[in-house]
Amino acid sequence: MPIAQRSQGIAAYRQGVAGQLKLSGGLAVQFAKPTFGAPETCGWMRTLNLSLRQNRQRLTRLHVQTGQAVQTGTLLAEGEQTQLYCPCSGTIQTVVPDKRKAPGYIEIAAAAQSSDKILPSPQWGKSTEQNRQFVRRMGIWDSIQQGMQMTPPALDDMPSEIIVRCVFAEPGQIPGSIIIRKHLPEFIRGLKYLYELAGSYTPIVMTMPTEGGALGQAIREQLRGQAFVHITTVPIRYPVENGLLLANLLGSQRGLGPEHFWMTDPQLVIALTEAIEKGRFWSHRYVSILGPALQKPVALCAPLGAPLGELVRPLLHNISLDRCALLRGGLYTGKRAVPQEGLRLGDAVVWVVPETETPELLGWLHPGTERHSWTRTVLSGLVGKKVFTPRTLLRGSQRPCIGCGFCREACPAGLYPHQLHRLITHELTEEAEQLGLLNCVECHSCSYGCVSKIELSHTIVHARRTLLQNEANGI
Amino acid sequence: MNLHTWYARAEKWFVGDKAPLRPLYPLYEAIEGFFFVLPKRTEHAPLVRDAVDIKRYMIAVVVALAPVYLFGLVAFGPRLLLMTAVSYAVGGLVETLFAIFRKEEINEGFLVTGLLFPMILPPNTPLWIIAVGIAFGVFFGKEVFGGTGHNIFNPALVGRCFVALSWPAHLARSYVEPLGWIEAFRNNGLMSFIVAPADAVTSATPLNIINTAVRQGRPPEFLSAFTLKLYTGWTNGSICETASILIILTGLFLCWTKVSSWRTTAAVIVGYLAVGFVLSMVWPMRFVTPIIGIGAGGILFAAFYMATDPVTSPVSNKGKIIYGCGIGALTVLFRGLGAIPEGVTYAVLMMNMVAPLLDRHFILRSVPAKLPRKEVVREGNG
Repeated sequence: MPIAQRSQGIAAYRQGVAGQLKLSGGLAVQFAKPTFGAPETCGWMRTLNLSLRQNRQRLTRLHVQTGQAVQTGTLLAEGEQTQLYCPCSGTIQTVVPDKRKAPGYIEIAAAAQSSDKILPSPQWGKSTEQNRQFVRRMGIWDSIQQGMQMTPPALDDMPSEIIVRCVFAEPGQIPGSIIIRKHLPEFIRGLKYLYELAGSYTPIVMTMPTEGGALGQAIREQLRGQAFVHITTVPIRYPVENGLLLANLLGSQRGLGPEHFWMTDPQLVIALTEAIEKGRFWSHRYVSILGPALQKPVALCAPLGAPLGELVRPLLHNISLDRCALLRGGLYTGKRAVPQEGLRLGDAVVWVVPETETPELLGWLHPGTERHSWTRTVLSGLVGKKVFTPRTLLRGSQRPCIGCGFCREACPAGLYPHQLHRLITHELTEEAEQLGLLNCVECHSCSYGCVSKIELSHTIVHARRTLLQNEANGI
Repeated sequence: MNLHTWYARAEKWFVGDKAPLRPLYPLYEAIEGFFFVLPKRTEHAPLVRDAVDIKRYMIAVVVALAPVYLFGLVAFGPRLLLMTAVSYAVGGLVETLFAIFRKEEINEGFLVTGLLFPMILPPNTPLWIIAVGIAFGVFFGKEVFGGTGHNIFNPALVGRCFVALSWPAHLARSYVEPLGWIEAFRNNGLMSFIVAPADAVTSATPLNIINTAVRQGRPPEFLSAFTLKLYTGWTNGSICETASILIILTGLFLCWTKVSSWRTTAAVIVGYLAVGFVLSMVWPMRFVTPIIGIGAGGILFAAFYMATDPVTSPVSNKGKIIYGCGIGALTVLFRGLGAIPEGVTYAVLMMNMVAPLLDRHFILRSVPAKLPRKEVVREGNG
């Protein structure tokens, strides 16, 4: 039987999750798509800076100390569900334990250039548990996200479906197709390994932007006869790659909760093949570096922990690094980073945005030809010219909510962020929960479009995480 | 020279515990905000933001209103400028005093309220009535609720309602024919703009004419010269409510910019037409056919500019539709059965009261069932 292709795409899925989440709203921001060449592999850095906050978790149990020599694959630190392994061999230079207010890190003077063959022989196929242990040692397991939690699954977790996200609407992210095209055979074999990793019969769902396309055809051709892989099309619309959204979108077909999904992406699948077949530790991640401060966008395959400043500095165009902001982990969901910080597990995009603006005289009279707004109140919107130059500006003053409803329009989960914000600031968390606080997918679209520049998502995400934490602690 | 650096020198007078003019900080902030866009950085995700802000949002309404305003200026004379100046000055003063009192920023929403208020008054309204009306509207319509964003009623309409109830006779004799100001200017010179001349020719508004005609059993014929005048705006009435076609065009522009909600506007018009059509069939001695009625009075202006006020209208889509239909239907009833010919002000104010209820109902209903929690999932996993 050829691969079960869910040609109805999300329509069929949608029925399965009717009344839960819909893929409406979202930011319809369009901007010139960066054209990436084949990703270049970045050499080793002199020092690597590994953050002790990975996967939204604090890695508090340290296993190394300053001056200790480490090998590729040495366990450096662990948190509740995440373990951090050394991506290279070298010497520990600095260990700064993580504190609640000051993030900690481990600095390694990298010595070895090679990360090949850290385990003597591939230990694969003996049992599911051993497979998983092996994958964890290879630095792969902790990049698998478990559906709703968006944290690595427990070692004995049994997923109901594995989703391989090949569609990314996050601006500037390297399209899955570029990565797959470079390593197609490895990707196909990796899917089989992924299937074995899950243990029992677990379908793998790949999201693709379109039905056709040469790459899609090639993948289908290669997968002929393997019924465990399903290909489904999803619209390229922010935030389609969001784990929470996608889990709900693809739905709980078997009546299981959406928490049972595993989320992966193509590079993890390829890394799986490399690890199993060649014993190679997964040390390099694909990351795109782009932004108005650079001459052209670059796709890199950079080592984990590579200091962002080192990666960005050679690419800068007529501007110094201290006049730029580094936004790590996406344009909307990302955070500011200092140049010394290293690449983390989840970083796929780094934006470099110049911060050189001065006060602007009579700015509200400015027609806004080079600004982007999803309303048509700036000239670029009137003339239909789609431009999007990211800036780290608030672009206005904070005012009380006027109830314009833009946040509701932007919310892909169909919530009323302004109402949630109001309830949370009045400490009415229970009412907020009734209004669907837990359905928030943390995409930050509401704050992006807010006219009154209210930090809606900051408040909502904080309240949501506190609520989940309290629930987990049984409060 | 950097103008902002120059201006910011005054900051020490306003900011800080010992600054002598500290209470006047909102004024300092407002002037700074008016002249300069400061490069304020985002602190939390998303670190990039949309270019729209409250100033641009409100300015979009002012831009959309400009053609209607210009029409009013031509039809009813430069007195409109004076009326607007009084409205902005007095209303702005109340707004500023309250901002200082509450130690908050001056809100840009006043840009729209101050402009809308004189536009919905008769052309010869005495200036003192405008001053009292806008002060009342801003104070009781907005500030007592806690300022922009917290008000239940549209402040411009609260002011309009107040002056209409307090000085009905003054307003009734302030309606003049379009272009009548030229004659008055010839006779009385510039003074005619400040104090309405005693010999100003006042006349019945179209709604008065329609009401009288309908109750006497002779409805004005559809597509007569009278009806055409209603659509082109060459008739008397409140200054900027007459130019129906212009209002529709600029209002559609505002909907297109996403600043006003097309749902609300469409619902008001559909509600008015539907209820008006049924009632005019059932009771032709009271209700005029809505094709004529919609061109007269303030219903179109209310549909495009008053009902769509984001603060006082619902946020949920279904709520907007019911809210709009309610305004349309109530206007028909007030016009047909009320003692005064126009009822759209009261219709909008009444539906303003219902808006929070509608929102509460529809927002609660929109929320999906709770997502499966861990315990549910564990059971499922067996």
